[in-house]
Amino acid sequence: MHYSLKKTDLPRFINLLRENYEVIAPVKKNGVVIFNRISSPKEIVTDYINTLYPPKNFFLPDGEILFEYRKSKKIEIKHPEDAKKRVIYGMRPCDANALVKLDKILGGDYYYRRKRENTRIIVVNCNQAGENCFCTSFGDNEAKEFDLLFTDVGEKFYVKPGSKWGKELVKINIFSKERKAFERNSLECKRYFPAKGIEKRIEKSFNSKIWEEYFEKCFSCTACSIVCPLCYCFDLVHSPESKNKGKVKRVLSSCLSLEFSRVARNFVFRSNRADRVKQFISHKFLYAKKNYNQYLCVGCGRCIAHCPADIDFEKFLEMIG
Amino acid sequence: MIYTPEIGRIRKIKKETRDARTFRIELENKELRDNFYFQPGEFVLISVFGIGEAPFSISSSPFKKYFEITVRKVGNVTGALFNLKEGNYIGVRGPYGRGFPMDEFEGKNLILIAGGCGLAPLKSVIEYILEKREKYGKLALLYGVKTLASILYKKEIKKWRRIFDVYLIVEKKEKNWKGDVGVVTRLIDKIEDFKNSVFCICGPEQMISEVINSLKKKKVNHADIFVSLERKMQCGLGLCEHCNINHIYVCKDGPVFRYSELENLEELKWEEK
Repeated sequence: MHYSLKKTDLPRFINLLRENYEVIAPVKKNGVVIFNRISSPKEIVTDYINTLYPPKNFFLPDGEILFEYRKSKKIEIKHPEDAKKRVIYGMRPCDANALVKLDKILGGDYYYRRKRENTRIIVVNCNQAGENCFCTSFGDNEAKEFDLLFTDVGEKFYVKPGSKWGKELVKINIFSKERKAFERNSLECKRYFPAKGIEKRIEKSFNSKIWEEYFEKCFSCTACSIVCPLCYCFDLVHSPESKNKGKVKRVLSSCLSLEFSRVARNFVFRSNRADRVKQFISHKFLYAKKNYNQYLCVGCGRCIAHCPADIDFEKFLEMIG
Repeated sequence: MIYTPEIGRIRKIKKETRDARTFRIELENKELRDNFYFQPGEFVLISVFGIGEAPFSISSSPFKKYFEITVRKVGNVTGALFNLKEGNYIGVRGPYGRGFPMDEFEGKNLILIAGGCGLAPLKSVIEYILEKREKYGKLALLYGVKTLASILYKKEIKKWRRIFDVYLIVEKKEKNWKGDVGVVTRLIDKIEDFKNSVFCICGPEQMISEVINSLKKKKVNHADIFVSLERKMQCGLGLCEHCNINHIYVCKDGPVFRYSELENLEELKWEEK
C-alpha cells in the first residue's frame, strides 16, 4: 500500500506525534540548520540540504553520563534514567544509513541501543544534492531503514512506511491512500568516486608519500570527526564533583588528536600527523570493511564543508583511486 | 552494565620496588568473586573513582579467589592507586581480552622472556604452570631489568630458581651483581631446545622487537612466538578505538598475539627500528 500526506497537514501530523513523543526536527538557530527538540511545528525548516551536525548526538551524546558514584563507607553506583520516546523528523537518507552502520558496531552498547530503541525515524528524501554531497558513491542516497520515508512531490509528501510503527501510523485519516507507487527521479551528486574496492586502493597507498603531501595542511582540529555521522570514538572520563562524588562520562574524541594515543609518561603512538589521518581514513574504509564489512562513510560531505584547511576527503579518495 | 565497574576491595599491598607495588584485590560480590576466572595474559580495567580508569595485566594465578596487579607509578591512575590503603575500594571491569593459550601450550617447553614490568602477566603464566606442572615440558624464564633495584617479585624468583631455570640480566654493571650484563636478547643463547618450545614475550615494544629478531635468527616458527602488547585500552570491548593497531584491537583481539598475526601490520613496523 502507498500513502501520501498533504503538505498543509504536516503541522497537524507533527502535533499528533507531539502528544506521545518528543519531536526533534531541523530548525534554524543562529543562522544554521540543526536538529533540535521543537515545541511547535512552525519551527521546522524545510528548505535545507542537510543539517550542520549529523543526528549522531541524539544517540551518542558528547559527555553522556554513564553512571554516578558516591563514596561513603562503600561505593554506591547509580545509573541515569533515560527512556524518553522520541521521533526525529527530517533526517536525510545518508544520516539514517549512518545509524544503521553504527548499529553494527554499537548495537551491544546499552546506552546507544536504548536511545535507538526509543527513537522513531522519519526520513525525508533529498530532491537536491549539496555541493559536497557524494552519497551516491556509496548508494547512501537511498534510505535503508526508517519508520516512515517522506518524499516531497510538490503539494504533498509521498509516504512509505518502513516499520510496524510506521504502518500503524499511516492508518490515521490525515494520510491518503495512493493507487500506485511514486517513481522518484534519482538524485545526482556532482562528486562521485567508485567506492567499491577503495579499501584495497588505500592499503596499496599505505607507504606512499601522498599522505604526507596531501595532509600536510591538516591542523588536527578534529572538526571533521565532530561533524562526521560515523565518527564514534570516545574516552571514558571521570568527572568529580566533590571529593566523594562525581560522574563518569563518555566524551567523544578523535583519532586525529595527539591526545588520542597518548599514554602515561607522555608517549604518543601516532605522533606523526599523516599517521593520524591514515588512521582516520583507514578506519573508515579499510579496518571497518575488514571487521564489519562496511565503510564508515555515507558521503554526507560535512567533513569537506567544515575543514578549516580546505582538505577535501572525497577528492583524496579519488586521487588514490 | 557496560562500562560500569564492579566494586573491588584492596586486600593487600606489597611494595615491589621504589615505584612498583602489587595490589591484591577481591571482588565484593560473592558470586562474581567465586567465578572470577581468566587465562594468564588477560587484563582488568581498574578505576579509582574521581581520577580515572586504566588497564593492568593480572599477575596472579587464575585459581585463586582474589587477583593481583602489579602497578608502576607512571601516571594519574597509578599515582592515585598508590595513595590507597588496604581495605579501600576500587572499581574493577573485566577480565578482558585474550590471554596465552595455556591449553595449546600443554606438552611443550615454555620459554618466558620478560623486560621490566613485563614480568607481571608472565608471573600469572608461571603460577598457572606450577599448579599443573605435569602437563607442561621444561620451563625457563629470561628476565631483563634496567637495575637490580627494579627487579619485581624477588621472593617469588628465589622460589622459582629452585624449580626451573631463571636467567637474569641487568642492563649495566652494578657493584653487587656478578651475573649477566646487557639486554635480555643476550640470554637467548642460554636456551638449549628451540624445538617443541613456545616463547612468551612481554616488555617494552623495543625489547619485544629485538627478542623477536633474535628468535627469527634461531629459525623459530612465527606461530610459536606469543607477545603481550600494551596500548591505551579504554573501553576494553573494541569500541572506543584507542588501542587499535591497523584493523586489530589490542583489548579484544589481544593483548596476547601470536607473532604470525602481527608481522604484516603496517603500524608495527618492528623490523625497521
